[in-house]
Amino acid sequence: MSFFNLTRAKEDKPAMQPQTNEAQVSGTRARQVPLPVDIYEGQEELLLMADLPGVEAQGLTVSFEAPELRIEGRRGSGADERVYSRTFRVSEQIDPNGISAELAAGVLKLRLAKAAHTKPRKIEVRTG
Amino acid sequence: MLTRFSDFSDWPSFGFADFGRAYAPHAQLRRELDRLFGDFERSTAQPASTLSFEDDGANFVLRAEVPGLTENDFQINLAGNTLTLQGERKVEAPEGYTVHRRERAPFRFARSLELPARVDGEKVAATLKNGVLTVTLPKAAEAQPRQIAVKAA
Repeated sequence: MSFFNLTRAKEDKPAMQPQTNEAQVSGTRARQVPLPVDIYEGQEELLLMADLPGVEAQGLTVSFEAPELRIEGRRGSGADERVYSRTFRVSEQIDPNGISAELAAGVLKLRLAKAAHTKPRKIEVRTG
Repeated sequence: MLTRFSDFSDWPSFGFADFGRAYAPHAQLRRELDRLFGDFERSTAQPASTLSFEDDGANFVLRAEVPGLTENDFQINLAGNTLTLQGERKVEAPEGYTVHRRERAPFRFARSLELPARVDGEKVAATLKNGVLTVTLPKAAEAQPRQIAVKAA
């Protein structure tokens, strides 16, 4: 889909992928601006970092309805209004209560905890 | 903005071309700024409106989108009419994490630019809020816009 689509080595499908058909932002004629993201996967969580310069916490909406994660940020008003928006498809099992978002210096840091059963487990081998 | 008196001498005539000339320093500055942030803009799929330079009459206002940078990541110097901006953003994958997607580019800039008019160095202010840097450069008294009253002879 894009030249920077990196898939992980251990399996073919990426844990989180931007949707090709971006949903239209409803009820606005504000200019859309690019929303670059980094996506990382750890043992316990997926970590998404997004550049949203100029957006305040009250202008930011993050919603998750499995499997879709949506980020929408607004800044400015009137002719200067700008909208950042992107939707991702999350193929990894996520704990809906384990999502946390932090906005600092115009960067959103979103942590999505993996559902308990998808976390790697170490199986103890007992000797008989 | 006011053009220095000496510039009038080689104006060929009062036409629209002269108007363009008056704004030439702005165009020059804009090109400088494009170069300054060129690397940053090239790195994203679409060039974003990452930078603006305005002349609001009393001040020059420079705004740059610099998400992820903190106050300590900048060095801003003013010497005479020359403004120097330096900054860097590093983007590193957290340890132990697999990278799935990387669109946020690291960038670094270091650039000097000539302002189109003298500014009051004492009153220059730079603020950083939500990843947007705003540098306000109040023009020196002699460069402030003035209204000239026309008197009937």
